[in-house]
Amino acid sequence: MKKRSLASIAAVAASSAMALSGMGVLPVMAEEETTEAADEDKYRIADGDVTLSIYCNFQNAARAYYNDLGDNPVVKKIEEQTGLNFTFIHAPAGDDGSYFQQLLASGDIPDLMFTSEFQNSYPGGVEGAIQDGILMDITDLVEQYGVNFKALCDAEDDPDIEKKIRGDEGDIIKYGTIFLPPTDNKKIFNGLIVRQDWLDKYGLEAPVTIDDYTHVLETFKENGVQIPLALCKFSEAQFANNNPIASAFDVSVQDFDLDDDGNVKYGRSKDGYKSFLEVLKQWADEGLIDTGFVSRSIDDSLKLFENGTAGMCFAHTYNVKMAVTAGAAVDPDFKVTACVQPKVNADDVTHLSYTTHSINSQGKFVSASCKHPEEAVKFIDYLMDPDVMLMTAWGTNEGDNKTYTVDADGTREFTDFVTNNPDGLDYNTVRALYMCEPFQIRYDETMEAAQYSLPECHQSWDAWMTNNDSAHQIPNYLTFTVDESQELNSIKNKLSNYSDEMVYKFIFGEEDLDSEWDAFEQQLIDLGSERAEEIYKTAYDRYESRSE
Amino acid sequence: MTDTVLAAKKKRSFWVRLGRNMRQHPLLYLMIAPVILYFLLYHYYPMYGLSISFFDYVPTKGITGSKFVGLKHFREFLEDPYFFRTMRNTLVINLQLLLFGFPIPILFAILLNELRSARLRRVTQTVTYMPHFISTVVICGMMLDFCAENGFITTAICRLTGMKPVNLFSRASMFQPLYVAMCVWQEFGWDSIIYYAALTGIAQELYEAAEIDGANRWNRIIHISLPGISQTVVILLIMRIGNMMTLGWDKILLLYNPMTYETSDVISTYVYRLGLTNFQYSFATAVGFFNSVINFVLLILANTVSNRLSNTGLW
Repeated sequence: MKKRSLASIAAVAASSAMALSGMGVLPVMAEEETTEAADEDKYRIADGDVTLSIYCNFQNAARAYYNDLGDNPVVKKIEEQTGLNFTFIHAPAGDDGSYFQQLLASGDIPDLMFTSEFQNSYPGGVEGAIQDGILMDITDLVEQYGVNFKALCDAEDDPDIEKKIRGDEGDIIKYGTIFLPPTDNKKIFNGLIVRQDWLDKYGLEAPVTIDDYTHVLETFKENGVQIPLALCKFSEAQFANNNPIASAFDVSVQDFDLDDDGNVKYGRSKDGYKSFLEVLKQWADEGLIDTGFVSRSIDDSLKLFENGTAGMCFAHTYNVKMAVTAGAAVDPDFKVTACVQPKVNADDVTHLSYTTHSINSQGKFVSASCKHPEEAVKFIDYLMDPDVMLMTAWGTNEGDNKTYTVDADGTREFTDFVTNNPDGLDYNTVRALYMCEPFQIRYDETMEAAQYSLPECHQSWDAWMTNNDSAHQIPNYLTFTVDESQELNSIKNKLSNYSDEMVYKFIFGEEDLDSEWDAFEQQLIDLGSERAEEIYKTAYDRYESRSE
Repeated sequence: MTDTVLAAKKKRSFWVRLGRNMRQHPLLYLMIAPVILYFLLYHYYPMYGLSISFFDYVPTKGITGSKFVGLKHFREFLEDPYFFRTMRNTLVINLQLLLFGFPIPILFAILLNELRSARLRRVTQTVTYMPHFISTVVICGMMLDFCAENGFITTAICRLTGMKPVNLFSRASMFQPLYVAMCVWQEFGWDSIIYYAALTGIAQELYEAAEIDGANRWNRIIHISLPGISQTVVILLIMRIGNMMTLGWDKILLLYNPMTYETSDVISTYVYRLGLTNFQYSFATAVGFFNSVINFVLLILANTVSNRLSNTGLW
């Protein structure tokens, strides 16, 4: 889940500089180069005698130009500065996640792995992988060499930081994780959006309560909107992480969630879930939502929104920006507004949206078979050096192709070479070729700000963060033992396998909600929902009691 | 005692004979060597990997280091609440594919063979091959579009039956017919090639003789064309049955959704959802193993039946 939201942040960062195009800034670089020369030895880790194999992402845009990440100028510069040599292993383009599993199954494990798989899907998480002899426990090495890591953690100014970077056994499991700029902390990036021009046309207010929503959708329907609300399938990660509509009843769409007392419950086994289904069922009966949503991706629902088929849909702040241009191309009056997350009563507070934060499931891991663990740990820490983070995010800025400029007050801007490339390369390709996102540790404030310069984007945060937070979401820092995670995974699979089908059938009336609901709840318990709640609760208590 | 000596003697004599034969025909053995090597390396050696289905396999520990759990993973699969449903769907979908997908190419090849105009025949062939070369993902995407609420297949069906337009792939009862129709449409042209080739191999004199004897077209098809390709038909049928459990689940994965699990969820898709995304190597292997055993049994059954009935078989 985390991986997906990071990916969207990356996509966001990736397209950020579009807005900067046209801002001509003078190139002034001479000074920086001299300081770099003086610091030459500061980064030395080896003398060309150490080779590390690295498994990491390799952007699709770069594949046509580079054999692997080793051809990237930033990586070359890093090899030069550190004296390390790298070999790279990348999943093929379009991989569905199975490449990594095969890589581990082959037993031929790379020295370093930059991935979120260990935290998200490996049985027992990072600690499980350490027990299985796949990863090395690098806690002591990090304590010794992780100077920059410590500095970054301290800069977070988070009292829970020690709890977050360690597992239950006290091992550091988040080394090399990704840090977000403070401006992005605790923001909510997803919610429902509506056609403002249609609201105006039919004299409607932006909806707040469920009843408001129903009224708006009905009005759209009466005026010939084909699909008033284009939902996406519930399993879409962003949708499932933010639980629109369902959060009004304090249940998550398909996950486990917390209540005010810190107890864990499976959302679908709560009474609130029945109320949520009743709303959707009513909407389905009235034709306000369509049957197609059960297999629709978020991207597809956005297309329906942009081309005027739908009046409302679920979106990311980034999509809001894209919709503004795409929609205007179809309908010159196109205007978009983000709506407050639906509530039962206008002043309710909902607690189930995903808030972005530093320290997440992305990490950089050293394998147990690595011959040079010390160098590996030093190298990851080197990536967290402020100057190196600047280089991975903005490029080396050397040679003929300068990628950015810095003005007197330290504001960086991309050059024309990036935003309006002479060879006609689009922004994503330039970024993949001259910067090094797979090695990037910190997402950059300046880039983010440029990305979301539109007033519609700022309005979306305001709307989605109105009386809405993540208090009832289970923190992503829990760790499970191998046995726990195997049992939990198996139960969760069974639960979703059974209930995904039933939930859709309830909505479209193929199963009767009133008569079948009790049997449905009982079946969830039979499949182990209560046992799974227990496992979550134990893990949650362990997390809460982690020592400082 | 004497038995083992005899056996040893016999065995040695085989190797001796083999050695002699090899010296006599070195080139023939050289030519077959790569094939044997290929089968040993890529088809027999990997079978060793099936043994991980009896362990809780952890890659770094290897097979010997992992915990032996016997039939745990097989039991888990067989006791699964959805085992019966997935098994039923696998069989029913495959039977339908066999029922419709198998005879249609044969009929089509015969019709092609009867076409007088060579040009029309070539055009027809090319047009019917075409879908075979479109990628699965594209075909399924097209299918989903055509069957959406306002897609042309939906519109056509609704105009004919007067039903209210809905997304056809959200109806469990519609999944299997649509799926089978799509598969047959995509492959019948391509599958007919081999039958058409067999038909062109039938001696023209037979047709001429029959014509002189007064046989009309229909008689000629029944008495010459069909018997002429019967061997090909039987062998392809047996091979097809042997593959029954493994046919094309990627298309199902692209087309189904929770609303249609009831009729669309097959063993492979179920395992994909359940196992493959969670590092459950052993469980997935156990199911694969189970699948292969069923395939193997079906193949032997089909071959035996065919041997009994028509004296034609793979072995």
